[in-house]
Amino acid sequence: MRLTILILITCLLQVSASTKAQKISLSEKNASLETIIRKIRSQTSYYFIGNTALIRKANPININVRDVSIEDALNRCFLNQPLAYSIVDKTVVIKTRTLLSLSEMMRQKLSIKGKVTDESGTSLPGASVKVEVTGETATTNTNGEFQIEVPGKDAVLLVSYVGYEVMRIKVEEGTVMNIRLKPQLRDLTEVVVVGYGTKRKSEISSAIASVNVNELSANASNNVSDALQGRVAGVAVESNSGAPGARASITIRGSSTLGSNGPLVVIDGMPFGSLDGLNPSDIQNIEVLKDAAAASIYGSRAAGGVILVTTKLGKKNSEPKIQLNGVYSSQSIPKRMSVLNGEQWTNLFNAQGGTFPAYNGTNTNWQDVIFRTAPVYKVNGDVTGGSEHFQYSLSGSYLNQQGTVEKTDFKTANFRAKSVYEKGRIKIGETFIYNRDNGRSLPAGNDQTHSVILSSLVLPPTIPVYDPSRPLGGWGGIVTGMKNLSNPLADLNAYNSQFNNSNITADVFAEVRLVDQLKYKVNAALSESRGFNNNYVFAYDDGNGKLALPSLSMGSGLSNSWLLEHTLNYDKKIGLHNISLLAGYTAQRDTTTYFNGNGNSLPNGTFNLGSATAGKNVGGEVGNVKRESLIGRVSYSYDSRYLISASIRRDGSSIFSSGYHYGVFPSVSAGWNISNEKFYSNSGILAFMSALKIRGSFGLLGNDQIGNYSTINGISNNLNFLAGNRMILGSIPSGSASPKDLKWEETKTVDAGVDATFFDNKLSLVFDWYHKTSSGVLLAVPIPLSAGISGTPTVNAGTVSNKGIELALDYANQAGDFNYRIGWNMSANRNKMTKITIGSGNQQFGDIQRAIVGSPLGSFFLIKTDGIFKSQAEIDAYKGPNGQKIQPNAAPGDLKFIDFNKDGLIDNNDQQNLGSPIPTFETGVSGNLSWKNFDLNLLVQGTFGNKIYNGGRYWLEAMNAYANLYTSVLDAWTPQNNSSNFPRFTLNDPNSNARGNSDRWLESGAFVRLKRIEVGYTLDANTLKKLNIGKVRGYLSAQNLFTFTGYKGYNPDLGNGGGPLSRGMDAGYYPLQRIISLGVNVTF
Amino acid sequence: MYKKNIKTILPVLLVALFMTYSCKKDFLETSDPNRITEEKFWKTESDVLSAVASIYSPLRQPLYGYWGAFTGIQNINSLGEDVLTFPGGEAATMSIALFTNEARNSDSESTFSALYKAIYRANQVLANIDKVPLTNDKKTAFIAETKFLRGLCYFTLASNYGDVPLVLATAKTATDQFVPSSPVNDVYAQAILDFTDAKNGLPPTRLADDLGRATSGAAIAYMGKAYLYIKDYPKAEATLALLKTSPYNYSLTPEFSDNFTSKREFNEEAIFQWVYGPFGDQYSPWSAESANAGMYNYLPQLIGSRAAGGWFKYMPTNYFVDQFMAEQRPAGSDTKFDKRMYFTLSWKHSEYGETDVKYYGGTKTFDDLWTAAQANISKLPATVQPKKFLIQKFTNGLDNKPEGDSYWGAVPSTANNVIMRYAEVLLMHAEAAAQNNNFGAAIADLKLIRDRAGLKEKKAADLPDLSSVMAEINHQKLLEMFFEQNRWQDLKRWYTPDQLKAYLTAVGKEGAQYLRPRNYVFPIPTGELQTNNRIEQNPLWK
Repeated sequence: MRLTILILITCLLQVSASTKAQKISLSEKNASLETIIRKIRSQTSYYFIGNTALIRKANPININVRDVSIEDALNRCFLNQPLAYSIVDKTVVIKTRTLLSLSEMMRQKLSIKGKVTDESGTSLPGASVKVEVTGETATTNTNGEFQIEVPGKDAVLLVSYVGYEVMRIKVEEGTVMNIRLKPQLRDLTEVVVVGYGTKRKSEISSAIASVNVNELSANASNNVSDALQGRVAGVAVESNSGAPGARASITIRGSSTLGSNGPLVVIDGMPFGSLDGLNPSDIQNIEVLKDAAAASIYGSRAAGGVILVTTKLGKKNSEPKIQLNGVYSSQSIPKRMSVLNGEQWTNLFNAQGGTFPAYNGTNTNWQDVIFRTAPVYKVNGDVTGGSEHFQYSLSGSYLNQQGTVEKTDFKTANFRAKSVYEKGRIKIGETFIYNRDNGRSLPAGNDQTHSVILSSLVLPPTIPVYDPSRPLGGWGGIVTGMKNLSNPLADLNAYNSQFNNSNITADVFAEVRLVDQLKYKVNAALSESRGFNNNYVFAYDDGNGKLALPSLSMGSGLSNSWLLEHTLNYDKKIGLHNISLLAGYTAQRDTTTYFNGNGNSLPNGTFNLGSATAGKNVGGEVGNVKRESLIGRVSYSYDSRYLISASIRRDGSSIFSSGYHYGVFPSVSAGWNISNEKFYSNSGILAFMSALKIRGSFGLLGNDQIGNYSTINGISNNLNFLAGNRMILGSIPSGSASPKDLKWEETKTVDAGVDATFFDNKLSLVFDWYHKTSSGVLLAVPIPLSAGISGTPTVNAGTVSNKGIELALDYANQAGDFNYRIGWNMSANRNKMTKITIGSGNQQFGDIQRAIVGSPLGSFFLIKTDGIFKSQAEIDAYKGPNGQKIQPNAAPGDLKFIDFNKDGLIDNNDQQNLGSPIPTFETGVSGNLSWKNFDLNLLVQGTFGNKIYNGGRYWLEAMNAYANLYTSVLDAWTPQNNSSNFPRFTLNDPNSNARGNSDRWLESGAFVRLKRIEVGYTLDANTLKKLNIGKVRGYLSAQNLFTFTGYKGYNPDLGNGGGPLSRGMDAGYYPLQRIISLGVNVTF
Repeated sequence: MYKKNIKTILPVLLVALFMTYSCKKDFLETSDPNRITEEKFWKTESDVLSAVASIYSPLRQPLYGYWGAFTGIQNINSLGEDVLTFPGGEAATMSIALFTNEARNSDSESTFSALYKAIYRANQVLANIDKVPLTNDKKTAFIAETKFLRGLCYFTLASNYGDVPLVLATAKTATDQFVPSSPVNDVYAQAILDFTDAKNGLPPTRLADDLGRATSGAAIAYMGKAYLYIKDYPKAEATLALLKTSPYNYSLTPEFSDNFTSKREFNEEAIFQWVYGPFGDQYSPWSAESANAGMYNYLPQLIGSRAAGGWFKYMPTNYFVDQFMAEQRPAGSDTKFDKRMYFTLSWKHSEYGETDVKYYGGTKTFDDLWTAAQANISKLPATVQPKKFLIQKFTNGLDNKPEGDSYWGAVPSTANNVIMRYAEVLLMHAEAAAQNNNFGAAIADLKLIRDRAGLKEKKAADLPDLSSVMAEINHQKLLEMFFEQNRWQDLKRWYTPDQLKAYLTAVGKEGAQYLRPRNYVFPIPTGELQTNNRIEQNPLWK
């Protein structure tokens, strides 16, 4: 209720724009400029930036003023100084003064008027306008207008505004100058959001990456995670599926555990955020905290890194700005697998003992039957603005995405409100996000072994889509003799699985400045999600499965979380010493409740569980997790040269048993801004390398991401048995509980990094080396089958290491009207399981994908093949140590398998490590170009070094069942086609050519993709002015336009939503689509 | 000054207070609200009963996933036989049937896993039963029932896998869960020990409500079978003979078919059976051990004709058909062939001089069934092209339902699956007696079997020596116990691998050329090898 009122206030509050300048009084004799700066700092909230060496060059200052503006005070101080200053927002930048000739000084003064606007023509109040030679400055008023005295008509103005490039422009006499600023390419004074606070980028000593939001193509992106792909070094974003509304999985610096590896997402201070519910256009900035030192302040759930998202907020003293965006996209699946056509299929199988009717012209292309070109409609809008004390933003969006597979779709709507009120000692604010989505999902395959996508490949083309003679819908179905296969279109129609979710997250904070710079902040956040799914199955007969009467299963869940945080923040500058302290307490509780009901045999035309006449049953699950933490952080910097920061966090989690609730996680980081040293500025290297910082960090993080109640041994039910005419309900303790001494998994990260900029800041470089070691990794340990326990208890079982380097280069420059920026990032990561600490230590997890000491998680262990036997002589000559034939069941045309353990047999002991699903090298190249009114944005993304198990090809090339196959089988070995390396056609397969555990199905997953290209055109501002429109930009965007890969499935990026031991396993997922979008963006 | 200090201190104190108040001591304590926890179990007799039921559960599961249809303990043994042809096998099934299976075969792995699941549960009952207040009689009976089931698991493991881990207690620590294999003889010895305890503690009969639960008769029958398998013939003969005397009243049913349909369940011939009945959702057999799982018998679905909605996974071999045809009934009998053949097989009777019958409620002629089978039969290699015979036993072919073997049919079968019946006891007793040179007893047992089949009596003169008695036992057991999980075990006992290979080749068994000594057991499954670092693969499979 209270929340609602706050939002209403946000909506109704009128925006007043009154600027109240801060007044300064100074009385100094022979003071150094440093002293003056310190005095001004203590009276105002202005910051100063300048090289220390430079500031020390200043002449002694005599000054005596009372209640003057900062400009007046500084003008007096800088009179007759070799230095000049400029004010950018609330920051005073001190620079060397360009000396003027006396004649210039003598020119007659002119009064110049003008207006400063942003790139879209919106006025910029508070922009700084400075006359280059005199240092005279003015600030624009609320309408962005200014008036200033210049020494003559050749004078030059320097116009600056935070976040925009400083513009150097020659004055125009007698007219109102229209000065349009361009967004700054690189902001040196950039402030970075860190956990529970902000820091200047130059003061950061840990590995934090900021995402350039301007590059994200937010308006054309359907979701945030997709927009992040390929943008940040060390952040792997993998699309899990092309299903509408599907999310990507994000891994920061490699998988360190066998459980959940996802990063913690904190949206406006709410740590239970998910990127999913967020509208990409709402994002102000994104920071990725990669090392432990940066993330550790978020302790318990930050082992996978932290993504901090700050949503948009209006600027102070700005008029309401309305932005509207509309996009229409068309999606399609560009790739088609080459499968046998009806004639080829009939001939092939009838030659192999089939008795199928002769080809009658029915040639169904099942891929074309289930795939379609599907539209996406997206609209979003926001309004932002602010006065001196109040800033706000409101936004809403709606997305309707039809799936590229028939019958699937996704719709989502989003509303967000955010405001901050600040006056005197008090600051209060809130963020409110409401998100709802609904849609229809892709059903699971209906023949036990194939997904619907695979069904469209394996179902023979001789089956018609429709067959009116068949019951329950008239769908075409398999004929006797074929493998049990389903008609995918029948399944897509029959299985109507609807989901409908809504989520509210709200955060309210209040901050009070108690004394000096000691601030107390209380932050309360609430998240409430409701989900409902309704899975209705119509009566159908797809030739394999059949349902005489409809069935229905419904489920509904409610989950909510609350979070309470108290923090105390203290910032103090004493001379060149800069100290910042943080202490806090946080508590969080997550509660979930879920129930479901099922029923069968509903009369046709009824859709209510109550009408079910059979198989009614219910189920459900409840649970809650509680966490509390004490946090502390000390940051100290000296003269912006030496930086050190240390934090500690004590986390408690109810996941663990009594006595093992708590873990303590410390971290420390240090940095050295070498370029701020005197010797550096004197060395002349400055011209080449403008800034240089080295930094290093060490930290510990905890992970408790395992199932709730893991250490409590429950009773397994429904282990039933019949006797006489009754059922005896069976129950027994499950035995799968984790040991009571289960404790926090700990991840230790060492990081060393360099930040540098070159050539007058045109080129920037960020390099990091890291070593992340997780110990006591929470593994669901497979118990020997002979122990008889169903389930896999989680124990602290091993050590996983991730070592890697990350490099990001960014070059920005302009040439005339041509502005460009090119970014390149890469990350190379080596993942390895280094120790197993249970059993004998040589335990292995998984089968063909294993976690095993010495190899990356999920490495593929398969039997290596070595071509095919071309003759019986080759088979006879392939002998084991005792002279026995290694493959006695083989015939010419069969695969030759490598006897890895040299025991003369081919069996699972011959499975050897043949690569890992984890890329060893990932890279992204992004480019932003603008020329006059045109802009171009592109992103190329590449992934190398990973392997994929092509599960789809297994079904389509195994040739051991009467199902459709890839056309590649037409080249199978025959005595006539003796040069082929494709195994012979044999349904019985005595040599197990089709064995699942051979590298026949393993392929390289490397790819290079033109992920996105976007061309935009912004209409000329003067034309729009008449219509009172700020900005209109139209754009054409394409996603996933080209993918260069040797991978034979639909697409090589599969995501790892199923965890590290199933990563790289292609089981026939929803293919990724190519998206072409046309959009328009209007700002008023 | 003082005032300013107060202004400073007050808020700091307030905040400090605020921060400590929420640190409630028990904030992180939790309990599982979803299920009863172990601490609350083992309190009442009904807890023990439900725990014992949970041991039966993995053993009786008719289907555990689609694949499980073949992995059922009751069916897997039939795969390597000389009596079955496989027109529609899945890869895992086929590789077992053709002797090309490996350690990662999912069928043999899931059977192994299910057996140890039952053993784990049995060990839990034995370890915890003392916590429950029970009368001595009840406690003894529960322990005996538990040991019978554990013995049955170890017997099945020994006869199918050879050397396996012998787990006899619940694991106290994680390390206890890693158990190495014991020699197969020790595994048999443990099974016999468990059967002995079971025999002494179990009742000979059960009340109506408990029909289907273990009896002392079942324990004796399996004990005798175990002795036979380890070739301790004197003990086998003595043990099995117990079932012929009081308090046991076992005898052969007049009608052979009564052992396989739901008409006369728990009859005089049934010694132990898995009970199936109309419980749960007939369309959820896949998720066994879940609420509402179908408790029906889905075997007809597997075997039944395509024409009646079955999956048609098995056919009789020509050798098996020939065995039935080899001996006709005496002139003047009501049928031409062995009475059992009319229930075991279907064929076109008119081609053999008899009147045709119709199947599936009179809706299908044999030609219909045969036509529907063609698509699958055509896939078979030329070497095993079958005669025009199909399996009728364990299907619903003679029931009165048109789509009798369809998963989607009206009601699935509720027929119990009798896994130990008196006929088998007689044949085992006959074998043990013959081996002990007690031919008279063996011939007497065989007479009962032959009488019911409508065959002419064979007298001592017809069966004068061990080899002729054993040949007749072999022949009768082949016909009597078709598809009842004995044939492969018998062949393994009666032939060395070399002999068996020669024999199977001679009878035209598909895959005979791939038979190796290792096929006498299943390998220790990969899932066990990878998780149990103290186990080694069976030496035959190394």
